[in-house]
Amino acid sequence: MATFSIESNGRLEKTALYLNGETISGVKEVFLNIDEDGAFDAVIQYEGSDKNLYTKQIFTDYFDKIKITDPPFDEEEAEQLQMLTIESNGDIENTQVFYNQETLDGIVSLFIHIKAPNHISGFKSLFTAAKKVDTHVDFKAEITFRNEDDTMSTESVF
Amino acid sequence: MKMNLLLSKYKTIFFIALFLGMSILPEFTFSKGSFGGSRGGGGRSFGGSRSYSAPKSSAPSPRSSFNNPSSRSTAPATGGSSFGGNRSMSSSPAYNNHYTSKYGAPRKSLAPGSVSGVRGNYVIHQYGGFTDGLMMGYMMGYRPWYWHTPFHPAFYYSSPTYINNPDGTVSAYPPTFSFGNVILSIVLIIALVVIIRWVFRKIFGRSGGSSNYSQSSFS
Repeated sequence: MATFSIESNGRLEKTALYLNGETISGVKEVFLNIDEDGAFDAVIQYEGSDKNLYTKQIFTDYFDKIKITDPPFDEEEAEQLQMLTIESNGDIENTQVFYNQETLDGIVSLFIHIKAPNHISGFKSLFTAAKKVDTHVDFKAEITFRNEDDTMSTESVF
Repeated sequence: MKMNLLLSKYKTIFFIALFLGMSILPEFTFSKGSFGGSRGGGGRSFGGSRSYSAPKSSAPSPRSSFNNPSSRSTAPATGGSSFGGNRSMSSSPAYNNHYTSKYGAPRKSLAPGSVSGVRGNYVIHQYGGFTDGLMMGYMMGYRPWYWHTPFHPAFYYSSPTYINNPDGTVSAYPPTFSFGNVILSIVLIIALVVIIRWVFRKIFGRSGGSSNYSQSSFS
């Protein structure tokens, strides 16, 4: 079972990802699409310590050359943030979702897509016009619940 | 076949004999005039004859304006003769002509001493326009610091060209436009812009805004 957590306030600048309790960095994109009908997409793309890009399945793959850093937030800062944790082995039947340490139930679907803007670094960036750089940030995190009266409600996570 | 071989053999002998004849025999036989003939062989220098007793050393050395290895770049010119030595480019009429053909006929040529503030024996050729003023500035010793910056047009012009005339005066021609300086300036300006952009990006972050990803797992 792997544990994947996202701690954020809805802004990319304050979004930390934790894999089995360790803070990871160099992440380019996270995509989670899990629903009760069996869809289970959990993909992460990151830049490894060797500067190569890796795309992995979050709950089943080994994270080659992932960069580990210190936790970016102190306790006071963490109080201002929301923490979503998913514990899974890649199977919907063995997947648990926690929100600020509380277990969530009645989830119909979970959709998270966070994508960092592309930027060209180093010497090359000096010759690249700012307009050509993709500065678009994708930050979408929604959970659809089935209420007790069988109605559906979709809530934003962060 | 044999005949052909024999003919070609005789042909070779004939050509060798001809070559020897052309190079050696004229010393003794074909002297008809100063050029190409021999001295003292009873030949004619445009009619008449000269005795063989004339000392050999008094004969002019066979110098020519062409194919002379000592010309132009080696020995300094010796006085008294137009021949031998090297040619002073700056004093040659051809060199002056090169400049006059490059500039065209000057609009006005100022004689030495006619311009106050210009010392020396300068003949100033004026062609009008910006370069005249520039040349006068140079000749009066006026060359402020900003002429050395790309923000002043003088930066893109060369210094005036000075040519020594045979009469001892010096012709001054206006500065010419320098494309090398223009290209250099463009390269420098681009480099400056690139450096400024780099500094701004370092200070204000990659998007030029206030994004700070130090507290994010994303980069």
